[in-house]
Amino acid sequence: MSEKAERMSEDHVVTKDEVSAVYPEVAKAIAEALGRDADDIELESRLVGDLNAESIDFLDIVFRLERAFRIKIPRGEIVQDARGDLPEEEFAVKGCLTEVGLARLREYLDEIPLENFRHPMRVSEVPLLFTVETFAKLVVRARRQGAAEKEGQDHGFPPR
Amino acid sequence: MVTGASRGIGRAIARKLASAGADVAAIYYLSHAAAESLSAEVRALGRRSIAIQANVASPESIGEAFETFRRDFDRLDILVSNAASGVLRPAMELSLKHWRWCLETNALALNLLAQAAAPLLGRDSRIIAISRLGARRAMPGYAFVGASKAALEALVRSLAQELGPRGIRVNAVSAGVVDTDALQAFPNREEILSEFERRAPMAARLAPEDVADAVYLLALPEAGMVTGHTLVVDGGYSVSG
Repeated sequence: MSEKAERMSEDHVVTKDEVSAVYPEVAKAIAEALGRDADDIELESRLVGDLNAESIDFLDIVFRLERAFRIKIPRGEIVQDARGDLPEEEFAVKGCLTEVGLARLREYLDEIPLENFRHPMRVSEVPLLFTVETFAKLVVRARRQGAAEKEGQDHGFPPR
Repeated sequence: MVTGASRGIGRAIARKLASAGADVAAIYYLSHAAAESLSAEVRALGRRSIAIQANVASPESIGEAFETFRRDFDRLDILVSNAASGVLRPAMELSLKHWRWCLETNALALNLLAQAAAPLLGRDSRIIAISRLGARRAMPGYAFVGASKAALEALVRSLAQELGPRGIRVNAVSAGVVDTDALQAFPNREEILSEFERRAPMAARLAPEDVADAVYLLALPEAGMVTGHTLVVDGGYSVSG
C-alpha cells in the first residue's frame, strides 16, 4: 500500500477555531432535532450514548444542518470521507473495518477518545462514535467543499 | 410535484409523468445527487424540472418548498405525496417519538402539501398519495408505518370530500411489496420478496414502474369521476387467501 493510502489528506484537517465558529448553530440544530435544551448539548456529547439519538434523528440533524448552513452532506459522508482514496476492500471486509480502516477512522474522527473505538468494529457501528464535534467538523468540511465547487464553477470547472 | 422523487417509487412516478408530458418539481429530503440526476433526466425529455429539498413533515419546510416552486411554476396539476419514512420495530418497542416521525412524515405530510398546494390547484387537478398494504394488514415490524398509512388513506377520503366541489380529485395507490432501496431496511428482504411473489396470483415481483403506471391511470382525464379511492397494486396478493 502506498504511503498516500495510509494517510489522510491534509484537506481533511479541521482546526479548533473552525469548529468553534460553527458550533453554536450545530448545537442548536442538534438540540432542536432531539427536542432538548441547548444546555444539554456539549461539544463532546456522544449523539447516541449521551443524547439518545436514533437513526431517524441522524436524518433530521443532517437535514437541519444542510438548511442552516446551505450545504450538502452526501449520505454516508463520514465513512466515505474517512476511507478517502483507500480501496473499499482495504477499508472494510464483510462489513467489518480492517486494521487499516480502523486506523483511518481513528485519524479522521480524532475528536473521539481512542478507547471508544471497538476492535473489531462493524461499519454499521461507526455512528455510535459520533459526537457533536463530529457534526461540527462535517459542517466545516461540507462548507469547504461547497466553496471549492462554487469557485470551480466560477472559473468554468465542473464540480468534483 | 412528486415528493420523495429522488429514488424508488417516487423516481419512477416522476419519470412516468414526465414521459407523459408533465413538467416535474422533484421534492427530496437528503438525496441531492439522485434528485438532481432525476431532474436532468426529465429535462432531457424536453420537460422543465427542478429539484427542491424539503422535509414534508414540517409546515415551515413545505412553505419554503412552495415558495421555490412558485418561482418556476404558476400552477400545479398533479401532486403526488409519495415520501415516506418509518421505524421498523415491534409495536411493543415503539415510542412517542417514533409515532410522531411515522405519522407526520407519512400522513400529516399529505395535508400540509394539500394546504400549501390549494391556491395553485385548478379544476381537474389531482392529488395522489402513495400508501401500502400495511394500512390494512398486520405485518411484523410495521405497526406505526401501517398505522400512518391507514391514517393517510382516511385523509385521502376526507380531502376528496372537501376538495371535490373545486374539481380536485384525491386518490391513493396502495402498493404491495416493491423491490426498492427502502426494502434494504428489512433484515429479511429476500424472504419478503419471494413470499410476496409466491402468494400473489400474478406471480411476479412488483417494480416501482408498476406503481407509477397506476398513478398515471388515476391522473388521466378518463378517471375524472374517480375520487376518494385507494387503488391496490399488488398483483392480486391481498385478495388471495
